[in-house]
Amino acid sequence: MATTALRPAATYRTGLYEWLTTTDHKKIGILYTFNSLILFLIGGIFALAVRTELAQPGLQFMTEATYNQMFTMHASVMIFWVVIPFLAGFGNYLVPLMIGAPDMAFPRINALSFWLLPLSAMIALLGFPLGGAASAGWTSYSPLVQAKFSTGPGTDLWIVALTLVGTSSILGAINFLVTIFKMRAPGMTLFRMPVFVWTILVTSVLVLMGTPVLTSALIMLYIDRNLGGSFFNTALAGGNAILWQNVFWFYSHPAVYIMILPAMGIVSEVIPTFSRKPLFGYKAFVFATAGIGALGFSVWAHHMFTTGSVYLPFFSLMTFLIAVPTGVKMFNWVATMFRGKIRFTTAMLYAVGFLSLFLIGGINGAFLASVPVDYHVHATYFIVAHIHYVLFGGSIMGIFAGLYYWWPKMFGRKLNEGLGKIHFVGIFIGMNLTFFPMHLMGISGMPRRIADYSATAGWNDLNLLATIGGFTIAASMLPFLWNVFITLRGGEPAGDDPWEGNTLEWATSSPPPPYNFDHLPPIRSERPVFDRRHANDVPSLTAGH
Amino acid sequence: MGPIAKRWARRAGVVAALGALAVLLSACSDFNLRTAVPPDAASVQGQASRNIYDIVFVIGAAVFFLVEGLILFAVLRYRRRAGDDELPPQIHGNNRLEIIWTAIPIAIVLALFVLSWQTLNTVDARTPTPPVRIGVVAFQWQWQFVYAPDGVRWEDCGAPANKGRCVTVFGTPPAGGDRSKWTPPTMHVPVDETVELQMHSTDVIHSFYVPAFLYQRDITPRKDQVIQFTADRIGIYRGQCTQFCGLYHQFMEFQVQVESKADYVAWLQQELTPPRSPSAAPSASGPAGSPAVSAAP
Amino acid sequence: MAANSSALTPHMTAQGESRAHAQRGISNPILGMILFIVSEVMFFAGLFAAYFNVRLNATQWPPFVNEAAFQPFQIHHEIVLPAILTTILVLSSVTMQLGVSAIRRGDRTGFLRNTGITLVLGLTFLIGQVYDYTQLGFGITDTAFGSTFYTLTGFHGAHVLGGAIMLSVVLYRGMAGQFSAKHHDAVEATSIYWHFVDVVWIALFSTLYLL
Repeated sequence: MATTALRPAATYRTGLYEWLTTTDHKKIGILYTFNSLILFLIGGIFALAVRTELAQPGLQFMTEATYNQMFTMHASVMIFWVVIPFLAGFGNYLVPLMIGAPDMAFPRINALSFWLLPLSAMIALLGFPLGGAASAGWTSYSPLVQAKFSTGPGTDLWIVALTLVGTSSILGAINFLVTIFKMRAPGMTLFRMPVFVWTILVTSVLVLMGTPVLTSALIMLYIDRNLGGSFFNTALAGGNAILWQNVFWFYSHPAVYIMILPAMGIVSEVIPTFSRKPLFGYKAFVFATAGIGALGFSVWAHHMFTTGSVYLPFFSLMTFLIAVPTGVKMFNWVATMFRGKIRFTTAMLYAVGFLSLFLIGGINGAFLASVPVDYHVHATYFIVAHIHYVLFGGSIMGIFAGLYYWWPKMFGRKLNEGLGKIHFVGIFIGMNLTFFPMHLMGISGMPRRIADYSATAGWNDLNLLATIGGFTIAASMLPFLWNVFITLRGGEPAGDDPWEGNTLEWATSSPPPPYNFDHLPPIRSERPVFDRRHANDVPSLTAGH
Repeated sequence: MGPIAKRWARRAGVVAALGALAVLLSACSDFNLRTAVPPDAASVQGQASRNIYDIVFVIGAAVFFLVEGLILFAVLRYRRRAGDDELPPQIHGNNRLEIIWTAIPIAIVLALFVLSWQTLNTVDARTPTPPVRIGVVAFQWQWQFVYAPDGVRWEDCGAPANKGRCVTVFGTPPAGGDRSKWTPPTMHVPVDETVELQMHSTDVIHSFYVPAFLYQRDITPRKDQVIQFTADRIGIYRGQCTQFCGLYHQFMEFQVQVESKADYVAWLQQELTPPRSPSAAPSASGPAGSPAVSAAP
Repeated sequence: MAANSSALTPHMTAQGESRAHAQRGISNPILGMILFIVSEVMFFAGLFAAYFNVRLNATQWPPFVNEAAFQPFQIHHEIVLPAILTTILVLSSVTMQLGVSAIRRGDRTGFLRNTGITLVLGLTFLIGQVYDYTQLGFGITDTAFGSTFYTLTGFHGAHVLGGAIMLSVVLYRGMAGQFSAKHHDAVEATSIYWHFVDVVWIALFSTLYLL
């Protein structure tokens, strides 16, 4: 490659002004990454506050009012400013590289999509100094969220911030779709695209169809709160509290797939690379992704089984069925590892961690699809366990797999593998210690979102255990942050292709030059870089299909 | 990565695992395996839910051990040995396998769906003539249980004509969030009889949840809910609001006391006779909290 | 290194592949606008869902302004002005399309004339709608009917305003001579948006005033 002569990181030290005004998808991707990391720490502090308060029965550290803000903002920050943009950031960095394009279709809109994120995060967090952030839960059920019950500016700031995040997502989704449909390199047919690009494609469709509905719901809520509207306000004639739940979950259930599909895509790049095998059942995987996307819009009311206002059998059936494409993916990942030659880099450890934890998140999801079981565990800590096995065990593990995997591409330097493994072990143990006991709390009837609990209910030890786990996760972030710090100051140079990757981003330098490629390898399969590396091997080895 | 770092990582893992185990063992003062399964059902409907729970659990556990076992096997068996630079066989897929692991999960989830649906019909079954009807009023942050005589709607208990004919159970409201100054209300129900709850919320959404019945139902303003259950085991069971309802959500606890028919009737009589029993009926549409103000014992 | 920003995609002709994909099919801005409209459709779908939910749950539609006086909102009786406004907006779609056809032929004068007329018609619609608001006699706080009515028409009005701003930009750029028969993606994209706004209004008018 002609571009290998570039000094690593040379193009990335061009000053603050460059970072503030850049329209380069790679720099924007890195901005997404660091913005999400900072908010991950902020959201993590909120989570620690919640866990600290719950360590023992009795209110020790904060009032109910503070507690309610903590869990509301923890969920809001983690969902809207961490997981979704983190994955969108990977998409930003990788999609043009993976399809052999010089940049996103609309670079300036891309920059706007990013800058809406820190702006909106600041607006949402502004509630704290202005007398209290939003505290009606991230689901903000009406009428609790109405002006009568949720006073102060926090909720309105939250609504405005979420509308801006939604706008950012929608613009990003349009950008991804146009980029994927219009800017693929010659030879890069749809069925030669890396699976990660496929997951971004399906995710973008979900964003495009779902997020505007959330925007409309938020606007109606704003009108209710500030202009005397009566959409969801049951205190006024015609107001319907269930309507909010319907429009909210119409977006927010697909949002779960928005948060997990790209993480699945990351894992589907990492596992084949380190197993030295192609992804088992590429097409089945693509169809399963599309299937999750399509079914994803027909399951929202499983959040509302206990309202007595939804047609239970339909939504129960759909929710059960959506487990099937997820199961197909699980088997494909395991089959990819079978008969492979697995290298346990930190990225691969995170990918395997993703498999084993997301498996639990999938199985306990099946409990919730069964309406009678849901009647028992709905709105208890079982739900908290489930969502964290999916979003922490799934999305966050996937995100870290991606960070360790693509960090060398982004910065030209590898993250330290030893520190990385300590990070992984800490987070894996801490995660199970925190969230597994929550299943048991939920089964024995502990409701979620309570600031305190009875000392005689049998939840003391489980809560203490979960709190210890929470601090284990927090402690495991320290080696990670140290790792990032020392790597940015000069880690082990990575070279163009440190992992023997399969996809096009490994065909350019690390970090890639502006506009990415000066020359592309021929694209004859979904693994063009693998094909190039093994072009002269014995034919029987590389002849696929 | 070097062998030293590898050893360190392994050591860190062992230390962390041992630490976790030690914590688990030392902290077992109120933890017991009872919390690992749902409570023993105290109602007919709860038992049905418990049965389907057990089925889902067994299938879920089987799937878990199967897949986790496959993952572990692959991870342990197919490690890359040092110096082995040969490519493994490049297998791209196998349609027969894809069909198998699509079809079997579909069969499993369809079976679970049908079983769940059947159970749901038991759980949500309604009789038109329940022997006991109780009005349940949820408001920030308390419950009221209203027992009206036959032929009187609980909502009409406030009417002058019904003075002294209804029993209303109050708790003490959470005073400034102080747990010690607060007692939850107790709902008395007879054992082995179908009880109908007519549930109403005066302000925000609450949820009526009794873990021992394995059942909860949201109570949305302007959307009154009717549920029925048949408690079949005498005892006192904890209940709590599960739908986050604002500042003192944690205080919305209550108790359900399941007692023999004779005890239940005696209790009802005792509550009706002394005139000091507060008969100020809850106003269904009144402002939040107002019903409870008169409840101070 | 490939610092040449004008080359959208590296040329691969040596390997017998087709030309860069970016030059095939519909252009990026137009595809982007179509996708944006998909998201707008979902946005209005959310508002319409709320409207129909409110309407199906109501016992009386339109509901009473004043329960005691048994006086419903007289929305169906105030149809003349909205009907005129509908005609204006439909006409503006026609002139918009005439403008697009003109620039496709390279007729810049016809393009500018028709775009200008479209803009004037759009602004007329907006003024008419504001006037209509002052005549209706109910507000956004008057039951869920008022809330849905003003939210739906208000957000449609905001979209007309957005379209008018886009038309102004197109007109300004057109007068500066930036469009030709070959290069007028902005005109095409704006026209798609304008037709979309028109279609939304027809749906709104049918639901709110006729149905």
